[in-house]
Amino acid sequence: MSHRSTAMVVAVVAVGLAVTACSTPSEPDRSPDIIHIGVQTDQPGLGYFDGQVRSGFEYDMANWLADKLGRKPYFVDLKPDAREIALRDGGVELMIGTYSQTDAREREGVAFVGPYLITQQGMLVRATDPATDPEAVRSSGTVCAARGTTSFDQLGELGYHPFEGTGDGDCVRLLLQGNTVRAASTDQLILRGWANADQRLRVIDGVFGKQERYGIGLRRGNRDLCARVTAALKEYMLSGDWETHYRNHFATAPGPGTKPDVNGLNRCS
Amino acid sequence: MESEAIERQPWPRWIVAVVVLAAGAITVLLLALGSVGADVAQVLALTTTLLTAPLSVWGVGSRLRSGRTRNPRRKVVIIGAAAVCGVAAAAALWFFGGQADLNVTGDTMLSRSTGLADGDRVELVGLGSVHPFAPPRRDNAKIRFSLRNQDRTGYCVGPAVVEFVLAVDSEPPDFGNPARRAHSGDEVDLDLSAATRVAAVHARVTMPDKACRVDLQLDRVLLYN
Repeated sequence: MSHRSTAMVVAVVAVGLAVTACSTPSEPDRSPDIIHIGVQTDQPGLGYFDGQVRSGFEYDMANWLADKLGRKPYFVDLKPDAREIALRDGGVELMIGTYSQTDAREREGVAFVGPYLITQQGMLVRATDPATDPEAVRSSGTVCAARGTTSFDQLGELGYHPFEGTGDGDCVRLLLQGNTVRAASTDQLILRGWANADQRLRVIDGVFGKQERYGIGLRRGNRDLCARVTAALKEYMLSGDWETHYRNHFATAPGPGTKPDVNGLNRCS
Repeated sequence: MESEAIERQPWPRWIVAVVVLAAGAITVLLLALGSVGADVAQVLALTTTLLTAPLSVWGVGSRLRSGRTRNPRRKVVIIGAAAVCGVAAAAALWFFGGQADLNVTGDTMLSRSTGLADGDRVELVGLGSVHPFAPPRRDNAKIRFSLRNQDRTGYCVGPAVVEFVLAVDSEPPDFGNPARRAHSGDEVDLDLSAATRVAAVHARVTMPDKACRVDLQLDRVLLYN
């Protein structure tokens, strides 16, 4: 493992532990020129914040969309289980943070613009672990997933032994620490980011469960904002910047089915 | 004398005519509304009962107080006969006209309704010996349905499409040419008029995520002309 990788992992774990404390601005600027966007901070490649610089596909996309909307983004760091509350209470107008569109979330009042990225759940283990597919982990170990995520729910639905972490960074920390969990599980794209950052980790080949269709979350009923964000996202996906940002952060071309059909974006209702 | 004053005021017969006509008109209207009419009738019956019970008590009390006990038998017979004639006329109109909508939701079930995956097919069938589509009791069917993802994970219901196929008189269903495509919560209209013996309604669920499993429920099945 390189010094750079070690430093990155340490920084991500530290941010993961401290993110709650710094997540909510004490006096958010409510100027109409500012748009508050909920984000995640412990997902290398998608949404990562080392305390100084924010990086990842989702930050690039969020900046692009805010610019198109003519507003300055103000990022609000949120844990997965705080996303619905922040949207409902108006703490954020948009949620851009590996937020999977689900029927259950829609029933609970969240509207989704998108999807802008499609992935599926995978499994991260220590590099020394002999497991070759997710099935091998199901009967022989505990799997950590972040509280409030579809990954955690799906582990239970599929008969795994889930262990609740406070975030993806927390699960990776537990995985690296020792024997509490055998694997960490979330969306395959997020896991690849972690594995790229630390050679002690390895992503098991193979995915499982349902599609994770990342959408931009907003409170249901705001049709005007929904329509404007949908138009901006469509333009973004057609501009070529989607591919550029993807390659910048994942160092590879998107796999088949990763980029959604731009003509199949959700309709605002 | 107070009783003489009452005797001098004749019962306004036009009220009787109005009541009879109104009762007949309401009956016809309720029957024409079909299944909805039954709900309206229940509400009206309850309201009428609640209003007339205290009025009756009040009327009997007034008569006892005034000493007037004459039984208006002839009027009761006329009013009763007129009401019966009104209901009979309305019923005849309903039976021979045959235009009322039929709510057959309770008589219709699905050959399978839970855990449906992409591409799964089901058929709308009758309940026991009652089959609303064999032969079709009206020329059209209006079906409202909903899908439900029982898991907390997955976006299954939103993008799911249900294709309805009509197979007439034992013809095999042609899923390459569905009669209607609809999303959860939509209402579809099917033309059953070509069927003489049986109209078999089939449905196929399609979902982009092959791991999704949904439940299909018929919220309302209405037959109408």
